[in-house]
Amino acid sequence: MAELNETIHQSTRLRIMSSLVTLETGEQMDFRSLTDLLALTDGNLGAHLLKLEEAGYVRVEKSFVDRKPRTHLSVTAKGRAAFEEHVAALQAVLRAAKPK
Amino acid sequence: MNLSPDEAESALADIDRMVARTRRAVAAGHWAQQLVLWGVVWMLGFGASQFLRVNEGFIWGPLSLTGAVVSWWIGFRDPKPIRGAVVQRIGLFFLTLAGFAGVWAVILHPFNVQHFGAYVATVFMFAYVVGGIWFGRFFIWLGLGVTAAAVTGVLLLPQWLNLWMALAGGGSLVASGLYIRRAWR
Repeated sequence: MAELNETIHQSTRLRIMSSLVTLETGEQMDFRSLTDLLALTDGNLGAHLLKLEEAGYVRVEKSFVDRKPRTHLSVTAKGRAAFEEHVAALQAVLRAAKPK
Repeated sequence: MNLSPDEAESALADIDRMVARTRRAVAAGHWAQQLVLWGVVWMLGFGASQFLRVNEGFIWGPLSLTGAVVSWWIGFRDPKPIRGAVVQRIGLFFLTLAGFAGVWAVILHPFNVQHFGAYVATVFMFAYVVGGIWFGRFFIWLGLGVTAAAVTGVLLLPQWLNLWMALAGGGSLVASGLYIRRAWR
């Protein structure tokens, strides 16, 4: 039975995961683009990404492009599976509430 | 962890909204500049074909090549919001499509040059319609709209077809690119 995931369910982290799972496997999103998309500050996004990274749900890759630091983000297979399980659990809550 | 049905419903709605916004942002990042680029190419190519008395191959050959090089540069340069295999696949798809249209240029030769121009335009608009399955209905409507404009031009404006394609076709691409660049970020 699918279980709700407290790490993912926090509203900002839910939005982060929702955005990153939209990408195809192997795709990465630029950190700056994600802050713009979510309307977050760098620090706020960074803090939530750290929690997701510690849980093994998000991969953070730092590199240099034209000598400028760039950070790219992607969801891990574990993160994608955890997110899908969380969505299934949310849907199960709704189904259980429907009158029989 | 316990949630009420209302909380679960709200969370699922947030997820749907975020997925839709991300898809649109991805599309804006990839497609806005490409649409403007090829819209300008069409406007120049079809416009020159209407008013210049030269073989249209001399117009479209260099223009298409220039467009392809600039398109490749836009697609592969950093920084961009998303990096990964899908960008390369989209580029290869359009390259393949260009090859397909080119093969029929050889097979159908000699042909009505104006009709062929409209044909090539509709081939690429078919790609937008197909792409709209992944990137959103906007591209489906864009593809269908420009295709309808091309067919209308062939049937009703044969003497002004190139000018019509420059304005209706090229103009639509430019306007669409500017719109999604502004509205989808």
